[in-house]
Amino acid sequence: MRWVRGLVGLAAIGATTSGLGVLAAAPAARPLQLQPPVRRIVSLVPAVTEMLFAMDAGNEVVGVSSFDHYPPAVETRARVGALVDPDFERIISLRPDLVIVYATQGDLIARLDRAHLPIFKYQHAGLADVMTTMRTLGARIGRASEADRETTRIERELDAVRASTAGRPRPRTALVFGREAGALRGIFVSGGVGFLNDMLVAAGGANVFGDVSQQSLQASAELLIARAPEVILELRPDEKWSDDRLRQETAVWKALPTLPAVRSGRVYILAEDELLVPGPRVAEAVRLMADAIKGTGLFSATPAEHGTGPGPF
Amino acid sequence: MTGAGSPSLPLHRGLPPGALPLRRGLPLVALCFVAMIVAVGAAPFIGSTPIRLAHVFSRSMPFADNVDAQIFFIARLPRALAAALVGGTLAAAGVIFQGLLRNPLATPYTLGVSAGASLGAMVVMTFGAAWSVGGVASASLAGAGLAVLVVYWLARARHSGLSTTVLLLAGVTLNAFFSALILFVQYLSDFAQTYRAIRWLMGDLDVASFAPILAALPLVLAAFVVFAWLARPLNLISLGADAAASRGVDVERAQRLAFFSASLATGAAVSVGGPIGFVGIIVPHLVRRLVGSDHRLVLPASTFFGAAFLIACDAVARTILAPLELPVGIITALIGGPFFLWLLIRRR
Amino acid sequence: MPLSAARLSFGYPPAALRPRDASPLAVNDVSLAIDHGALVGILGPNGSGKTTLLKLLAGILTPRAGTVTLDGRDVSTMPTRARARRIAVVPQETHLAFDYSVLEIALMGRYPHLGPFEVEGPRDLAAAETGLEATGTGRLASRMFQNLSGGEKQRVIIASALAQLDDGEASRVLFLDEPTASLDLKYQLEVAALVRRLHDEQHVTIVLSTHDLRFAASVCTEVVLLSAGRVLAHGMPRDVLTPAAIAELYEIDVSAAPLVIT
Repeated sequence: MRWVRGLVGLAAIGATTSGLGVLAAAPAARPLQLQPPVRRIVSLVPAVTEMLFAMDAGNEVVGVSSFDHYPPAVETRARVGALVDPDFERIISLRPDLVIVYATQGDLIARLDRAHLPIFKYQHAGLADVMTTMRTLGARIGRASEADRETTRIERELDAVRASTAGRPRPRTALVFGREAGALRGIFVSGGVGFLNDMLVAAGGANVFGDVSQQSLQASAELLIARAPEVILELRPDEKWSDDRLRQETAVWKALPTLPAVRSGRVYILAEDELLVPGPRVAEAVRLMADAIKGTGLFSATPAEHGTGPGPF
Repeated sequence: MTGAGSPSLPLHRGLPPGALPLRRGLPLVALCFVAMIVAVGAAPFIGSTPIRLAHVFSRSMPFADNVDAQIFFIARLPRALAAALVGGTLAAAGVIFQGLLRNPLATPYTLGVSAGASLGAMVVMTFGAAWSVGGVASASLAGAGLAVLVVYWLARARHSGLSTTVLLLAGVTLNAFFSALILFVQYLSDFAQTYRAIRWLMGDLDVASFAPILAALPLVLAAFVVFAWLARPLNLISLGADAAASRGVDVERAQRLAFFSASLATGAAVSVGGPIGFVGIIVPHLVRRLVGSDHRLVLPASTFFGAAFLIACDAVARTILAPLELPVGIITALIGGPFFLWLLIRRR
Repeated sequence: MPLSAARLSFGYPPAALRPRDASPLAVNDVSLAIDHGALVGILGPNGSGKTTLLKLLAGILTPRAGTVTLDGRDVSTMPTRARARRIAVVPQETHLAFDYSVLEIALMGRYPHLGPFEVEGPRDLAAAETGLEATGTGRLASRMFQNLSGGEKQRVIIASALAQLDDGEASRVLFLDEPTASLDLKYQLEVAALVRRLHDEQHVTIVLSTHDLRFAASVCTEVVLLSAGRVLAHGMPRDVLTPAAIAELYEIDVSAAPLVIT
């Protein structure tokens, strides 16, 4: 029937033009009348999946990425691949009316466009952009008030964390998010820009690599010694390490016994899995980091012996 | 040559022993040795963070507060020694492989050792949450060992002897197969793991302690003892396997020793610094142009020059974009590409 | 006592893809006795097994059946270095993987005289230079091998083989595999003259393989006719190289067989 096709065509055009090019920075709420109702959402971005569930839109989520694990309900949803290997056929078969993709997934976006599927492009950015993305997404799926509720809650909790650390000195902190297990090789730290840096600052730390204007860099032994961090925070959300293993890995840092953080025992490995997700749990993540910085965290390395000995040999 | 009944030596033209070609090359070998010592001595003074010489050796400041001394002794000195170890080993292994395969284009990685080492490293980086014994270094050594055994087994499968052609084919096959496995492992790993794996493949000499060096040392020293013994047989093998055999060389034994010693030494080097490329082919080429092709000169000279070369490359890698560090493999590759171009143009 | 072979047989391993094919024997039940100081030519068409027989006699290949003895000792049980001091082989062509100087190559012949880490001494240098002088290549000592002409290269390899052999009483055998096969006529004549001279001056037994009739006839004191791995005849050239024998060896018409001038 031609009129159905016409209506679908209009809806598709409307959906496409409004779905395209929505970046994290666009704040304005859109007139809801032009939005077709969103009932079936496929999300390739784990952070956004969490946002959807937080906005009470969990039931509309029909497909998630291979790396989604939170909330537990996602285990019952269909898996559609991830950043590198999205399964286009699977996505289509779920008949979504909104597909949430990474802005860099050019090929997938092109194919979805050809199939006239509405897209929400996600771009990874800073801490504040988490809230912006939630609001934009909320408007897009008709959950503006829920989004507002959540973002307000997160911002309030973040402010509480900031308040708890206000007035205290900011320790020079190295935020490590990647390292070879069992050795001090291949150490990746957060630079002075980006999501991780924002979290560190909110948690009351001063990024010892804050002068480097990139999101991440590989820190050599020389760089670490030169920068002399007072606190080392390692984020290991993916490893399911036992307590013993965590202690072992913390002790690995004793290979650089002269670092102030190692001497005073302020080396922390945080293993909770909300830590690297720029989603609704950021406030919890920041609070965990703040606790570690304050020294009230669960794990602390045993302080190294005071290094007044003859040297490294 | 005298006939039966007169065993005395014929008069030769009274040339002094210095006419021996071997002796004429010794000063150049000594020069390479000096270059290595200078490089090891100078490298710890070079880096992205300026340090003051007076502080480095000062006894008055406690070590724990002496950042300059810490940088020198903990960060840079082990790193220079690691570069010397890896550079010298890769260069020497390159010489041995070139002699074994009778081809100046052979590298330490031609027969699949680095593919095996990389696979081992990558498997642990992706799946090895529980693997804490020695970490990536020991896994890459295990991978290298596996590759060596598989290649040797393949090369022996059809022949009672050891054909270098079959060895080469087996190595190329293994490289292809392991590379496919590496791609598969990368596919299964997440974004961060893939990134770290790719960085490992570019080479990293930042050992931060003497432990990795000491761990690799026994294997490397054992290999070098074998290299020293192999020098003369390899000279003869350059004439051809039959020609060497007719001069009394046990060719198969020499080939077997060359294969195992050079492969395991390469595995040890890769386990310390990752698969750093081009050292094993640039250095032997340059050295042969300086000292000729006698392996008794080429081996020590390549070892020393290779050490100095990699120390220099690493110094460039860690200072050129300070405070960021380029992986050292990028520097060796940037030198290697034009080097080969030059070789190609020159050969015309 | 001479070099002798008794009932030698050898076959190459079958082709990889067809293991069931019975490969014909390259050398089939060959027996030979070669005296001190002889200059023997093994003559036959391509594929007759000349090179294989040569390698068997030199101890490079192990026969499937039969033995080779030198001065009464079984060549296959001699330690490799001892054997190398008595038996030297000059291959048809030498392809170097790397470039060495002429003197270095001559010195390589001294391998069986030196221990694993021993460096060449004055005696070795003397032997190498003597070998070079004997082949007329002394003045090339510092030249690089790759830059030499075909004939010069062959002579340098011969010099290296001479340096390899012991001085003294025991039998020494120099094997040359197709010494003129890859050379221009000019160099063929050079090498032929050299072989003759070596035989006359150096008192070393020479065994060479060739398919060149004229070369065998003009240079050798004895000729062995080899066809399909079997010996057809063995004796002095003028006795052995009859038109009928040549015709049978090369499978040609009797009337077309060339006369041999000795």
